[in-house]
Amino acid sequence: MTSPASSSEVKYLIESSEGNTFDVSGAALRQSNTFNAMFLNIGADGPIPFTDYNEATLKKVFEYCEHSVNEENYSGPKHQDDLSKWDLNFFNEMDQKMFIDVINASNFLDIERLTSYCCERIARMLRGKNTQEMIKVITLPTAEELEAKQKVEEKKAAAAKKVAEKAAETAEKTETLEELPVQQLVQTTRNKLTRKYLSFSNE
Amino acid sequence: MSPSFLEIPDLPMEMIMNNLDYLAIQCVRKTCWGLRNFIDDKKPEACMKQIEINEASDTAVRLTIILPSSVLPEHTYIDLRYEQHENGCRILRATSEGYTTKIVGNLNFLDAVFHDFNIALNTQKSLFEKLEKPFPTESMEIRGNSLEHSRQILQYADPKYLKKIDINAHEFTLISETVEFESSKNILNFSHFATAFIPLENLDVETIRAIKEVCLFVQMSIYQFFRTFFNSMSTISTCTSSIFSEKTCSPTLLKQLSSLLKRRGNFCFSMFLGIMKKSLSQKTGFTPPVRSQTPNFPRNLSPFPLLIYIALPVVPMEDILKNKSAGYPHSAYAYEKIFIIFSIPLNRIEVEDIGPSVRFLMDFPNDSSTSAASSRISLNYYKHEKGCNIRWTKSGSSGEKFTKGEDFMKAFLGHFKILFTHPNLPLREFYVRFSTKGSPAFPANLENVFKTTKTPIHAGALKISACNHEQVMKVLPYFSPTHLKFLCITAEHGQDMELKIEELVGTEQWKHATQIDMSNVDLSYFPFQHFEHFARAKICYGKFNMGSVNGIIQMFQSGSSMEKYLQVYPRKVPSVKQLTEAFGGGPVKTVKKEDTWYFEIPANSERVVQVKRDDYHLYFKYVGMAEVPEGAVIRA
Repeated sequence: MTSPASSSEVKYLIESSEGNTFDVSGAALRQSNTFNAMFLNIGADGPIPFTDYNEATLKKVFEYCEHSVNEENYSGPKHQDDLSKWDLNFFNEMDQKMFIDVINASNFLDIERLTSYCCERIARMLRGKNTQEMIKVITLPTAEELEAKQKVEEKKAAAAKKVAEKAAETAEKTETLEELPVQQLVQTTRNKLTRKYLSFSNE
Repeated sequence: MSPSFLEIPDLPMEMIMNNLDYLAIQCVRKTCWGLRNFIDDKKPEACMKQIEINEASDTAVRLTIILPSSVLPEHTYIDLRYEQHENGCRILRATSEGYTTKIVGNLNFLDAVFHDFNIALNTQKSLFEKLEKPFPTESMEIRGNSLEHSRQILQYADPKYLKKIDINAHEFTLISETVEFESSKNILNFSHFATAFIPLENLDVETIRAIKEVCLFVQMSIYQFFRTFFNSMSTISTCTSSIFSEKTCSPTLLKQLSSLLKRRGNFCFSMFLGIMKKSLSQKTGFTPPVRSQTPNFPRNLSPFPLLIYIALPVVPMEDILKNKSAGYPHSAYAYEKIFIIFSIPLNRIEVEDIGPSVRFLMDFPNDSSTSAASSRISLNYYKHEKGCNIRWTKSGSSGEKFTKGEDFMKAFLGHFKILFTHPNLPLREFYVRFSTKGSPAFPANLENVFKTTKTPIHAGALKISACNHEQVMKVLPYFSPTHLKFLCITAEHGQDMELKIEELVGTEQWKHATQIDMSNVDLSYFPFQHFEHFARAKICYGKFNMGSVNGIIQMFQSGSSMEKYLQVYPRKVPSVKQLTEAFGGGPVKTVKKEDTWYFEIPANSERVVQVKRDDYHLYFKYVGMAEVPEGAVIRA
């Protein structure tokens, strides 16, 4: 499906968290330093798994990469006034969740240009605002949300602890059985049977 | 749960913060603990251009943070003023976007300042273009009155980045504290600087030579220093030459001079004095300029009130006292020059040795712009068991200064010498008193000061109150006979002072004086002829008899000048009867208890000699014939 150091026409398959796959051009994908470090020289057999991010986010990220393929002379983030119509549309189409996911994905994929654009855009949203306005922009979680989140985390932690304890117990038992010598095991079994027999005869 | 920007990883979050200005970062910092910790930990780029911290007063400090205009709109700043408040601290916050005031209870204003200042320094990661407090900075600018404070702050500047050090006093005149800079021996200490601007107050040839050698050796540049020096000198030179050569001076030039002297302080002041001195010596040969020589000057443009105005506030007498420990301080030097070069006419100087203290008073002419109180400086030097105590009064204010280990007499003589080591403008009056309780060494010490004067002292009137003839002769010969018009000699012991006639009348001062007042010294043994040249004389004759009266009348009758007035204070005034019998004929009553006689003058038929008597005096003077009452007898 893929071959390293091929031309820009080469397509790569990307796998999202939903398990869906879609094509991305090599030129677009090479804007990601993470991809360059991992797959560019060795190639990839089958779809490249970016399973921490959903399909919509990944598509949005690579949409930007596809668009900026021809903009070779990148010199840092642009100011709002310098953004093209396409750029403006690109950012305006995203809701806050998508925007944050795109930043996260972009940061993971190490796409410098997109990360810079997104950060500059957030900075612009914060600049000139007072603390209360900033709290709205940043969307700090409310006390209830924090409480609920804490509860969920506590439950998760408790469940994880249980699982861990169980696993530890099982491992201990297994270890005990494996470590006892055969004669000792026979003697133990014999003692158990003797105790059962005695109790039966008493009855 | 709605998505939050807090979910953004650290790296993009730092990029976001780096795109924010200082104000925005401080607002973000207040939103939540997570972001506050993040900002404190990462110290994002706040892009501060300049921090200024000024101690406005004991209860107020100003902290100003200036942000670069390249990223933000121009003139973006935060100006915080922290003031002590009865409940805590009042913070006045002015930014480019608005103005707020808040009072924080139970908070010391200094704690608030340093808290915010600490945050500002900790937030800064980039290099300051200018900083007034320690940190990595390219330029360190410290304004204070103490070099020690400057040194304390300077040591925190990171030498890795520091390119420029600018240490200045609040007022230029106070830079004289940096006296060690003036030493040419230390010039080499500056040799590593590419450009140095060192204000040297007293630039001498030796210093210039040392600077030149250093410049040649290390190729450094002190052009700015020289440029400033010569620019100032050029302006001053233009002003002085205009004042003295053309006898007129444009208001613009005077304003320029005034502002220059006020702005540059002692540095230009001493230059100005030097040029004035040179101009005077060249143009007038030290003949002091007086107001009458510049009649064309409108009063408000006359240089002399201006100079008085400039000079007196710059170096008041108490400055001399303050700096006296340094020997002859610069201010004292300047003060000396005021009298000599500016030649401010002094009305009166009084020196009194009254036992364990000396009184020294200077009376300035009463200018319309100043009150009577402001034109007088009075200094009293008291003997103290551990030194000298000086009480001064000036401009309605007064003060006291104690100098440990210094003799009060020496302290006085030091100040007195300042006035008389160079030629002076004519005083209106000089009064010296040697009291009976005074120090025996005082007259000799005073004479030593007079001996150091290059030219005789110019005074219109000289009043000496002495105990003996020697004390009179310690003073009288040192006054310029050409200026001395009025001589007054009084005895401290009443009338009992023996004057040596020959020595006294042999002095030029006696010969040239036109008025004399010796009404307090018994001159019974003085021949009348010695008073012949005086136009007005008040003399005391203890043993006054009719022969004396006739002698005086004959002196008047034979006199060549018709301007003469003699008032005689006899111990016992001859009675009317005695006089009438001696003169022949009855007296002419003009005033009650006063008798008048007239005597003709052989050489002048239009005037007569009038002799008047009252209970205490006898008066002799010329009057016109018209003043002689009808029926009065004119005796031959």
